[in-house]
Amino acid sequence: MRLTIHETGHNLLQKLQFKIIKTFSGQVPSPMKIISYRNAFFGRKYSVYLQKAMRETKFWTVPEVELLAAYISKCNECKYCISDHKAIAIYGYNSELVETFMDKPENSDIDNKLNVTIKFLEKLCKLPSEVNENDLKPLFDSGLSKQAVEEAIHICGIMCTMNRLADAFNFPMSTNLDKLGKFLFKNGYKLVCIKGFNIKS
Amino acid sequence: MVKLLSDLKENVLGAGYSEISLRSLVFNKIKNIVKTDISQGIEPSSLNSYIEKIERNPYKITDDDFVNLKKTGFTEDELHEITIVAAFSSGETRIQIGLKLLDNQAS
Repeated sequence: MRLTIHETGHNLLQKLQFKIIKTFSGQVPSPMKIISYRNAFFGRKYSVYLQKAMRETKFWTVPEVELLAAYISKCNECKYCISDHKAIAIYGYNSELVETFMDKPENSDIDNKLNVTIKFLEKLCKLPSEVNENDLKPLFDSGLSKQAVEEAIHICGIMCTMNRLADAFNFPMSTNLDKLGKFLFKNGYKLVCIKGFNIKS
Repeated sequence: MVKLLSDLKENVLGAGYSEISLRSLVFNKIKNIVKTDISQGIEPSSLNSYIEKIERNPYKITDDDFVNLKKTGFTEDELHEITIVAAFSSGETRIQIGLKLLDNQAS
């Protein structure tokens, strides 16, 4: 990563917890390092938001959330996040479907609600100043509720933030993707912020 | 979730190692690009080009951007905060755009 503080700047308890995580999973995920570092500034609250938006959705299932996250990462050309979120989505779909969806969503055997949603989110990612009310029409025509669209918008916002952090700080690509995907599929993001002692705020 | 977002915004634009006014400039620069596609220049130029990249093509950020920013005098903690503010603004502004459209549709 580009900043030394993200490798060596954590407090003692966090470093100890990272050692344990590394022993069991082979790596400390880069988002965990960033979100945990001086977590009073950003990570503590962001991890709560992350868990709520990505794992406590009323409409979208976990695999659908992860597929949306992977596709938004593709819109932002973030290799790190594409790889990680695909690895999580695969626990809900087969890998062939995930690959087809990532390549050409309209060719994949997936619910039309996801297809219309990603078209809207793609525009929100790439041309946010041009998004207008007409862009929402296909979503409501497909039967999506206001709540479902709202949840998708939050997922989009989260990924637009995380994709930029990954590229700016240069997250190394994750290893042990199977293990990581399975863990995040089952446990979500509530453990992404390692609290430790709050020596530095 | 909207309340969580507004608390987060308050946090990242509050106390920190970098100047609050600078973080506010960064937040608003990104917000303007997202909402209007218009950029407002900020000083120093190394920071301006870095923030432009964060919003427009973050995958083009390189080690040299950080070298230049450090040469300008930014510490790692300041760069940590500024980057988080910029990335957060990028996501948060899109959420506000989307939610506003949704509200208009419903009303």
